[in-house]
Amino acid sequence: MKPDWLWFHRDIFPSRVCRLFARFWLFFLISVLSSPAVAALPGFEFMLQHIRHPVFTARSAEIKFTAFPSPALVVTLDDLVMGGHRWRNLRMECNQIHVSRDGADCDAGVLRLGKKSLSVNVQFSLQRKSLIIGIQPVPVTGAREKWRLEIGWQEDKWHGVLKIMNGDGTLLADLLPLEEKQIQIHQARLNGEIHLSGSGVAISALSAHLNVSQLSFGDASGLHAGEHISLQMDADARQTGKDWQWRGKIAWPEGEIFWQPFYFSGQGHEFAIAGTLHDRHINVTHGRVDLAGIGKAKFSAVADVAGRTLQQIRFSATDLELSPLFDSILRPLAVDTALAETSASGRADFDWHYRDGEHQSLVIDLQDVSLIDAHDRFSIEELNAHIPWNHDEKRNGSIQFDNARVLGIPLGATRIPIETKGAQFSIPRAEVAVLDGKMQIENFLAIHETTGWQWQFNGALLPISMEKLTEALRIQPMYGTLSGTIPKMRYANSTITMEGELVSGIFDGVAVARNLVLENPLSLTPHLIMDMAMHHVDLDLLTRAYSFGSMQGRVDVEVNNLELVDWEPVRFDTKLVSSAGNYKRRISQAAIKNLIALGGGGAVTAIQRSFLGLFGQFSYAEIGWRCKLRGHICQMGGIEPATSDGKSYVLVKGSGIPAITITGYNQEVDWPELLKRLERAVESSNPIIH
Amino acid sequence: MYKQLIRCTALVLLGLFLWAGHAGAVDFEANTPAVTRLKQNMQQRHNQLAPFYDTGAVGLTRDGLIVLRDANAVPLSGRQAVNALVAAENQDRNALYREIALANNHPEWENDIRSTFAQRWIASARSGWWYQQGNGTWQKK
Repeated sequence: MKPDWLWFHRDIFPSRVCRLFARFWLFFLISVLSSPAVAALPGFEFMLQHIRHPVFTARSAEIKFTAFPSPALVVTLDDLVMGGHRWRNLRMECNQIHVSRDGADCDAGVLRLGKKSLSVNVQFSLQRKSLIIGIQPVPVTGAREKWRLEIGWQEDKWHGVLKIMNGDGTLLADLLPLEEKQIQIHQARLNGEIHLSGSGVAISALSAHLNVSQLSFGDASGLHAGEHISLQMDADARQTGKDWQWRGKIAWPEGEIFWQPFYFSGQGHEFAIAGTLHDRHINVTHGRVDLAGIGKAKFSAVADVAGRTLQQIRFSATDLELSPLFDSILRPLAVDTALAETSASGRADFDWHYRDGEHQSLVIDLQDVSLIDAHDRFSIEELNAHIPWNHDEKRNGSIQFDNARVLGIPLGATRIPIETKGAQFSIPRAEVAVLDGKMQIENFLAIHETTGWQWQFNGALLPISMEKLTEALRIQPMYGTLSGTIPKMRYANSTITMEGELVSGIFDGVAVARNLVLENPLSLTPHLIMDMAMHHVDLDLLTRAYSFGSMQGRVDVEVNNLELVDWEPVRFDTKLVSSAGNYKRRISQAAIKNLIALGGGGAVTAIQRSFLGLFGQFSYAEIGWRCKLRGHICQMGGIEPATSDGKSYVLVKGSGIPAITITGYNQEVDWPELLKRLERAVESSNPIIH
Repeated sequence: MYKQLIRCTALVLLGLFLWAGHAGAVDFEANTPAVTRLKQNMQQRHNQLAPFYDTGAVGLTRDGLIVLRDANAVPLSGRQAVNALVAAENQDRNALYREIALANNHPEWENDIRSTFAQRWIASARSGWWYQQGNGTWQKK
């Protein structure tokens, strides 16, 4: 087999080098030493502008030999391209050549590679059939750097060894192709051996054992860099018939690497791989990654080398520590999502199969996982899940957790059966414990579109305490229960929309929420937009719940165009009016005082004020209050204007005996200030009446 | 007569232009709960970002965001954290421009608000901080 995509395999390197060396030596002997003209020939010099060979091409090669006063050889090469690699400004000088019929030695040669100067000695022996090249830097450094290449051959078989002792890795960096040099190796120290052997023009085996230390590299942007890295590398490959058997192993005991967006520090990570090479296909039969602190993974793969395509990969990992895995690999990939500031713990298993350009299957198992958002937007604890997925077939799995919290709302222990198929994820039916009630989910379907995930479901809310819900949402407390059907809830483009109406019972009345839209639910600034109406709400229950002072009666409330940003209202059009019908309409003294606080000073007439203290309760005919909130300003109104100039409005219209009419004078109030005023009025047992 | 007509028309147009300019004034200091929350969040993060502005690791872009422009100025072990800070800051900045536009009841003004903020950030940057000029090149203030 001659895999011609391996440049060195096209015309095998050591064999060719030795053969070229031998030919040159022969040419040298014939032309210089064996010639009768040798006495008259002090040397020779010739130039080759362009040399082409299957292995290399060279430009401007100059070879100069001088015989006196001592044999010396200078070879310069402006440009050498070999196997896609390019070197420039190569120069080798040998001022002490010992030439014999057996071969030639150069004891004190100098090789210049770009800016580097290296001391070179060469021993070439036809009798021993060996070529030995030793290279040391000039001047000799304290690290005692030494490179030694030994090539020996017997008939058609040959063997080469490169021994490196404290080798400067930047030397190899200089030998890298120019187009690869966006990554600069700043420092590296190499120790070890590389063995090559073959027959004729083919390599039949190679092995390498290298220790890399003090490795530092980086690109100009600093987005790909490593420092203080140590690596231990072992590799060998052997040809068997038409196939190659190979294996490699890299251990990374220390150092650190940042490869945008990932950061790893060497803590004993290991990477091992073994396989075969057959007919331009690399088959990784055994691959193993051992990430210290995270866990182990196995993989196998098939790649088409000529086409540079990954045809198949199987990857599986069990019992991975999720916390470091999340920190090192998952979170950096999720910086633009809600997971960017999430901490994770627990363990995870993965099993992934990829073939012919498509994901074939993926199975994720989670054990005792917790995910906690730094901004308290969501959390989940004791999560255990089996999530299988297949490209073609339906798979069943489950997700269960002990407790969770979404936007402050606690969810209890829940088990959710799931189904996956293709780009779809579905939940036929599930019940999620929400506070003291439940949320029934039916026909949940999530689909991954080009714009991201979209999902929808219908279901129902089984009675949830409004008190607990409003407390969890940290909004104005409300009492009663929330329940009802959810005709259709949809999520797309970071927006949740609810079609239909959410009906709930509240303060013995009925509340209806509709046109609900929640934008960017997991962002810092979620927007909730909805319309809400409450019918026939029992004022007695309502006012008692808020300690507002007793009021008896029924009211209808409409809150249109309600917009909450970060759960605070920035817009609504509210109208509260007495419900139609016959019912008891009484208002207590304490409630009047609080209404006065709401309506502003002078809310009752002087006459009314004089007998306010005489009665505990008063009759009324109608209650009305309106507020148009824009930003933090509420434009208030009542049942009707109290005066023709429209500067005051009737909040409570009296009727019967004793009756009281309350007029409001505040037309524009600061909404947060109004709430504070109400809170103060409610908290105070003896509100001040102006 | 003709010149007077032109002058009169010009004055009317100028008046309309000034009126339109006034009517379309953006309230950059809009004080909604979202804007307040975002500003608080950004203010808290600023203390973490300031050292990276000082070293030039992070720079102000011409589109009102920030970017890790010279990772070499940050130790390797800190580059991931700076990435996360930059991403979080940009999320908040994008949200801030959107929320101010919404507070002005003109969502379509978001890009104009972003441009104005980009200039404001650069104008208020400390000496030694890096910013992106209109042509995309980086300049040290």
